Amino acid sequence: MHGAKQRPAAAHPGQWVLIAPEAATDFPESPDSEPLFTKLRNPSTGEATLYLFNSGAQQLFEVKAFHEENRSWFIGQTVQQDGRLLFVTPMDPLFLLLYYLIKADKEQQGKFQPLDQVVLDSDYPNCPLLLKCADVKQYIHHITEVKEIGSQKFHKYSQEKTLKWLKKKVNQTVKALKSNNITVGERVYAATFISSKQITDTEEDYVRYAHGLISEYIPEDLSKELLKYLGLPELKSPAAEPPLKKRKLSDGPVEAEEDYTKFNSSNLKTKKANSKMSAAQKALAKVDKTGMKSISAFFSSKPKASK
Amino acid sequence: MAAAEAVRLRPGPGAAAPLQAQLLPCRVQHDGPAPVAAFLRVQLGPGGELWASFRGRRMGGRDLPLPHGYRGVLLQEGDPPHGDEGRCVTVTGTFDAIRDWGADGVPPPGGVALALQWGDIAQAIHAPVPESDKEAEP
Repeated sequence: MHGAKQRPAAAHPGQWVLIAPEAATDFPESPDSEPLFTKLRNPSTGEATLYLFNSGAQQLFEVKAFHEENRSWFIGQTVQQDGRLLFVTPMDPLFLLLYYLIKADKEQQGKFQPLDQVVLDSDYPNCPLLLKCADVKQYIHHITEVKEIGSQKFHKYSQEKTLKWLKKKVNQTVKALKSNNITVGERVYAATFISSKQITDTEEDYVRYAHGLISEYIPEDLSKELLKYLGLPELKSPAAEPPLKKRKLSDGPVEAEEDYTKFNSSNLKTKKANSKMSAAQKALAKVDKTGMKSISAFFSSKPKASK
Repeated sequence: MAAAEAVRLRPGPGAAAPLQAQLLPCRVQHDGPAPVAAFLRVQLGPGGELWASFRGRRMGGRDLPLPHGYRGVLLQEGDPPHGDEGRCVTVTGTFDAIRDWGADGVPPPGGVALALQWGDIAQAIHAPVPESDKEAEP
């Protein structure tokens, strides 16, 4: 028996099925700089969300869960009740820095500061690890004005540069949506999204969809500014609401004849009530067709009798 | 107080053969070893499609490769190395595809297959942007 640990005596240790880019799970030679799952401030909701730093915190990843009701895994010769698939994907650390840069800009009246004085958070003690990410050093100038004094760099948030950067992000996202043949228009109900994609998706549909996806990574104010910057009027009509509301949680697996936008699984886990969703989150709920949700807890299993 | 709440990822016992990862269209109320190969006898249909039956119900299967450059891992929570406070999870197995089973037939469009496309979309959203000022329109 091992020494007393807090972990409850489970019949089977917690197990999770996860896919990730190879870079995320490559292991270092020394045991000191192993990949690390940690919570950081979600750039859109402000809530604690799970991320992964790879070995040496060179790269950042986000951890999402794909979850359809009533599914379980067979892995090799074992069964796992919990049918979730954890999906680790690259995360641009600049999205996470925005909150701190914007805050510093407001509080310090536009003073230039070194990053390590700005990226501090008593709620998230690991956030300074963000500054180790290779992409931060190389690309921070896309979102800040930079002054170099001697060997030290000083930064100040620039909304103008950030909007330009975000527009480039939107463009590269649109390219990926097109090349992946993702149907984006609200009015298109594709029975088979794989074959013969309906040619009703306009350029505006793509840009809006991409804007929706990117809004998940930026504060709401910035999302609204970006919409203006892209030259898109705000959509007032709740045209897309009905399909989601009508969707019922069925016990059976997905039916073929239903609208495939149902894969946005908003109610499957106990999440914060809908009323707490920002406009950006609601916008995302309309566009996110993958049913992928951020995770806020470390590898929690479904509540069991023992705790 | 110990360092910030975090969970370390540690390598497991080492390179074993990849496992078969299968996602069932139903809930199985069990965690642990099971004679999977006995429960699920897979047959190939005339067109090369996968069929099996489980709990008296027919299932159609489709093998889904992982996004390019991705690997599948099985993580288990383990005891941290002696003296250590933090939690850790260990890689206890790998897989390189997902066999998606649907009730009565091959899974309908969407679902896991659609979700796996997230890899490409995420890659585009989070990739660094081009340095040049010319915002290349898509």
